[in-house]
Amino acid sequence: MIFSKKEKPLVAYTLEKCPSCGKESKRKFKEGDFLFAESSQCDKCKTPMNIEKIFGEPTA
Amino acid sequence: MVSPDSLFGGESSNPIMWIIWIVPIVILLFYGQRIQLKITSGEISKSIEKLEKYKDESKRELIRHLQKNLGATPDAAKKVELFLEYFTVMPVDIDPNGIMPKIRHLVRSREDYTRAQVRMLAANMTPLEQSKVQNILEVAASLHLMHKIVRHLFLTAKKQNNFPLILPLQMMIPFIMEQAGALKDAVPALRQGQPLGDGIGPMVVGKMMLKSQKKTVAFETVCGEADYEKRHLHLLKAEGPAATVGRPGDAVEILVAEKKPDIIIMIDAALKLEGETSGSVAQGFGAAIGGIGTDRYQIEEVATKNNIPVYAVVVKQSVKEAITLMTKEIADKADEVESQVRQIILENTVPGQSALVVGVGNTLGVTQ
Repeated sequence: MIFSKKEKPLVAYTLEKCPSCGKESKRKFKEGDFLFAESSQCDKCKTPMNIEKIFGEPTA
Repeated sequence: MVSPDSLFGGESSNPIMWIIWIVPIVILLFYGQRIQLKITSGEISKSIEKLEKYKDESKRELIRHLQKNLGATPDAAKKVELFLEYFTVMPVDIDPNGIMPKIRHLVRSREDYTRAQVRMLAANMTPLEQSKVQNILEVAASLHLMHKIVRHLFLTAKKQNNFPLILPLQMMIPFIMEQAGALKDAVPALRQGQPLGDGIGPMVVGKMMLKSQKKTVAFETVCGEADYEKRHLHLLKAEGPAATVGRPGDAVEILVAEKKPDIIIMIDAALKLEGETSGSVAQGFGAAIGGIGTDRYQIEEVATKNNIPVYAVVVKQSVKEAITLMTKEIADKADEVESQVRQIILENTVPGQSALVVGVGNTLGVTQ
């Protein structure tokens, strides 16, 4: 159609947050990631971070 | 010598001019509709080809997922083919006793049967994988049905050379294609267990009930309790991270009978109008819940009988955003929705009262 713009595909990201120091880190989503579940360790506090958000962003 | 001026309207009695004007008029008079039918047919058949591609892709992806990741039984592909042709006969709508219980029974029987069928597709499937496969199967079945209906309308109009019959289809095809495109794009998100746009309600409530003790109140539906500013909160959502919407109708009925909440707040995704911003949050009244209508009916009935006001908070999104991977714009609104819910609780209850907060939607990838 004349007026339709081609949409860019979404790439899934996982946003993790450390419950103790509040540090946030964003990485590519991997299967098995669930919202609010424990994820990788925080570099600073060495405690498991929680998955705060999982979302899609259009490719650049 | 004939001047170009005289050819194009110089003299009204010029025979060439007559032919130039009369022949197209005669052609359009007798064959206009057929010409239009041909042009429209070309556009619609392109859309039908696309629908067929979507349908085949979703089916292929499901079978590949079953065989590659879940150790499907040898007859899984055949069973999937069979499932795509399943149909549901809706109850008679002139029944004076009410058809809601019949619809509920029918839909649940179908769900139970599908669940049992899915379990038989692969031997070693976890409940999470089962729910994902069930959702993909429903997507494939919807695309299959869409393709069949559009093709039927198109071929009927073509067979009968009936142009008026093709007009409604021509008008509807962009909407159908939008829906079909959204369904096709939903498959990868469902396969990988990513939260969908529709999961914003469960996401908000899931976060609110993180530290509370959870218990199952209805099929695939959990409830947690929390306190907020001397008010007691009953938090309800489908049991994540499976791809399910749970049974909020049953759960609200049970909780209202047991806990007697003073207000009900429902959080859901809502379809945005063209021009509205994705992820905008709106408040309103009434049971914010989609589906066939049985859950909404149950909630409205129980709220009316017990004189409980029902408040709604919705996050606007398109059809595609609702059934595919949750976008950043929508995910970023979770905190705003939570603060609006807390505000509604403060404004509409007094200390000592209680509120039932329901997160409505598919809870895929969202724990609690």
